[in-house]
Amino acid sequence: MKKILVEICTGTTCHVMGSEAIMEIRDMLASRFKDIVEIKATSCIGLCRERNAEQAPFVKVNGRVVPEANLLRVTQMINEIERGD
Amino acid sequence: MEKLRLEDQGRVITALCDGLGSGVKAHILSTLTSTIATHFAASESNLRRYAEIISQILPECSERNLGYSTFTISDIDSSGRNKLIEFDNPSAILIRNGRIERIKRRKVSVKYGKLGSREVFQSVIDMQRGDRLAICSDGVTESGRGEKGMQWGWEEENLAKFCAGICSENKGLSARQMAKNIVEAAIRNEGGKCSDDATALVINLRRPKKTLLVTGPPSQRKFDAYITDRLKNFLGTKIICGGTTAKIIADKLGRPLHTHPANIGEGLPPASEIEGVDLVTEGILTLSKLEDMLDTAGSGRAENTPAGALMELLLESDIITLIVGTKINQTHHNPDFPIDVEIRRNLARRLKRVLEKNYLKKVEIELV
Ligand code: FES
Repeated sequence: MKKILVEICTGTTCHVMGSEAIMEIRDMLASRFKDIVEIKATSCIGLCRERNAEQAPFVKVNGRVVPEANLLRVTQMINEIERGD
Repeated sequence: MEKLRLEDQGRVITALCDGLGSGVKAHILSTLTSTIATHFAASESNLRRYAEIISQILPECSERNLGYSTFTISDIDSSGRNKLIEFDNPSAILIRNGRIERIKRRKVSVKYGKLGSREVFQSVIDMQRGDRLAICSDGVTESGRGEKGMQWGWEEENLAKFCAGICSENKGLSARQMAKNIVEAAIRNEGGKCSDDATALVINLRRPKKTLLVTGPPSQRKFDAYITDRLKNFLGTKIICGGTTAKIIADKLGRPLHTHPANIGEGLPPASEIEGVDLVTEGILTLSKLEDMLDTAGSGRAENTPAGALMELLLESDIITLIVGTKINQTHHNPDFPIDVEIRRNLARRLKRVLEKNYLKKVEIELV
């Protein structure tokens, strides 16, 4: 099974907008994901400064940006990637 | 406890006072005593006269005609000459090369109101590099009183042995750590809870420790290399506060920047790591938290957060340079999240103030 990399931005903006809570995803994933999903924290990935970018917090799942990220949206993205969409 | 640094004269004056009884009244009076004592010491150089006047002007309990507060005042100049005045506190303990060094004291009787006279001890100690002088309140020496094998409590002699022990065990023991160790031992003697205020003040003579803290990206790209070089070549503790700043420096150094996910759950963004840098944290939020902690915590327990680690490092140093980047953060243009470069600059200024005023650090700010 292909690895899935989840990068959670912990920069100032994303932190203020709630990225810390997304860390909990470690405990919330279905067990089939436990071995294939790798969760990493990053410092500011720069999206918060782009004027036309969407809202923080930002999470990247295998490089795909999840804006206004929360547990649900990140889980959905992981599911999508697993299905190969 | 009160500390005062007279920059122009190279003097540092500290006083440890212990108020009669405990609680708010004792606290206010010992604070008052230590403030009067240090400031008066600053303006008087004749030791005897000074001891006399101090013991006369200090607040006194109207019912009992007793001084409200004991005191030990240390007035140390840049050559290491320490003029010590002790009144009713346990004797100060001098540790040199891990051994107890006797202090030659002179007893001075000082005329004193209706009570007749009181005895004050004065001494002049030529402190040498590495010396540590510990001044404690009787809450320390009397700790554990009545416990098994400690009829009179810990006692000065055992305290002195304990001090010599921890100093020879750890040559690099800082004054703060030593004071903490003493108070913690006193609390242990009491079985985990102190019945009297236990305070320890430690003076350690050594070369100043230096720290460089870089926060915020520089105003212009061309200064990126400058801040990186400053950090790389700095002799002392190196700290970066700010994700973007950390990234700039890591890139310039060609070293990876690694953020710990494990440290999350503390209300602050997690710390990161760059090889060769002692501490890497997020910027604004961590520095604001640090300011709060410096304002309120005093020498309290360090929190196990990036801000706590930061505070620990700064309090262990004497000369701190803050390099503050002034690049306008584009986030500013995002109307939902107005962060301004002013925030960082003001934070730096406020940190300088609290570190200098409450902790006697020397702080320099450099804007880039
Ligand atoms: S703080 Fe997350 S993108 Fe900048």
